[in-house]
Amino acid sequence: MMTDSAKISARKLNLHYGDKHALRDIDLDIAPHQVTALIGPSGCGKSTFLRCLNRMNDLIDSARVSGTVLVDGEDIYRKDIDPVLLRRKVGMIFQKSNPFPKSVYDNVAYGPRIHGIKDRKSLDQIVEKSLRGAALWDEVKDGLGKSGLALSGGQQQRLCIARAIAIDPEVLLMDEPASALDPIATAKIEELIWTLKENYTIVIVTHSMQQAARVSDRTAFFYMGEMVEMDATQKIFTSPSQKRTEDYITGRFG
Amino acid sequence: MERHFERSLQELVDDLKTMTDKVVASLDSAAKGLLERDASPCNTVFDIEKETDDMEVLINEKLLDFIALQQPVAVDLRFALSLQDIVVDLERIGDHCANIAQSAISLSMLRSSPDLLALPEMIPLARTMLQDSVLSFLNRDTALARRVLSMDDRMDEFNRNLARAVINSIKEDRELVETSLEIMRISKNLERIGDLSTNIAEDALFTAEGRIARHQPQA
Repeated sequence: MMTDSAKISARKLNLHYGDKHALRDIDLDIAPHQVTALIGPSGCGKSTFLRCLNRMNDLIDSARVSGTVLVDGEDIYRKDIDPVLLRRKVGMIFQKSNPFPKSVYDNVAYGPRIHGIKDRKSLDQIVEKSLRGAALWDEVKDGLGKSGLALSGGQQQRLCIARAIAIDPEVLLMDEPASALDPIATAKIEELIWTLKENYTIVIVTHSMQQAARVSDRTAFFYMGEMVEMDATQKIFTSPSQKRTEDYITGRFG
Repeated sequence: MERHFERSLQELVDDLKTMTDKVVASLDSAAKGLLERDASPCNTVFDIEKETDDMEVLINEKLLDFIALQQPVAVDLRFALSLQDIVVDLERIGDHCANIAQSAISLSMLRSSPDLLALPEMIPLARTMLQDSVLSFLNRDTALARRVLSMDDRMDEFNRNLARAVINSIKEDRELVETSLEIMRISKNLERIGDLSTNIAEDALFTAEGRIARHQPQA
């Protein structure tokens, strides 16, 4: 067990949606400054697990969570934890890019403004730093006033990443961040993920085996609400320990 | 529903079986030529050698497509990488069979039949190692692969003893130099077939277990 050095630790994590037992006794550690990929067939619980890490499931009435999730050793399901502050620390990027119908600048400055930063010079710095961090700066620096919705799909997704990192999170959760993008835009996002891990801990849900293999350091395989196996990505894709993992990644399921 | 992936994989398996059958047939023909002092089966060996060369190219082309298009991972990736090694090993075994056939032709032209020493025992051993190594790869049979590895010690011993016997016979009768060198050459080629079969068995272990068995102490 690597609890001491883990950025995030789930222990005996269970989640029910009404009668449906969506996550079963998940024990999983996520190392800091690494990319952890969650793979598995649709409905296996990987996105549900991802959403547990910043309490997005709180927004679903029927969802009941038991067990613990520690971020930096702190139980995020404790009563006195403010989910809004938690989500500042643990940001999320979704499958479909969702820029606000605002300028590129205002999209990135939105979070910092909510958190009380009003000074124009500070905001300028944050916007530039975030857009550079999301590898988008060079493409938009001459059009910061243009609508975020006018960007291409790949640029929109990188804008969402810029928006997420503008509030200085420590963890980035990504739910199939490149599944709606063409191969060139996907390659840019993957390259970005690879550089972002220097500053952030990243957990990515992906349906693309190749993507998991290319971008992640560790891979966890989920099946029917259980975590079947987690190991170094290189190990998972060359010689996984569990037959179910091998059957899934080689496409021999069912 | 049989997937395109499975069909591509099965095609590679079938091609490997065909290539193995050809190489075994080549060894059999060379052995027949040697044991029956008959040059004609030896000529078959040279024909088969050309065919196995072509098979090596064909399988490599299909493997390239398989890796590029099917993007195999885990056991399928290990299978593909091993197969790439194995076809090279089989092609080389084919070359050794041709060397044996050449020596057999030379020996068949002698007036009297030479003492073949341990060669009649080494030939079936080489044949078994060759066949079993490929079989262990195809069936992911690790026990069989390990048996092939252990057979190699016997083969090496045969070859060493034969070399010693040949040197002694040359010392006693200088007339036997040419014959003895051919016998030793055949023995050396059989020993190489044993080595290459060992390589194939190691690839079988890698495919089945995911650990590289080559250059490691035997587990």
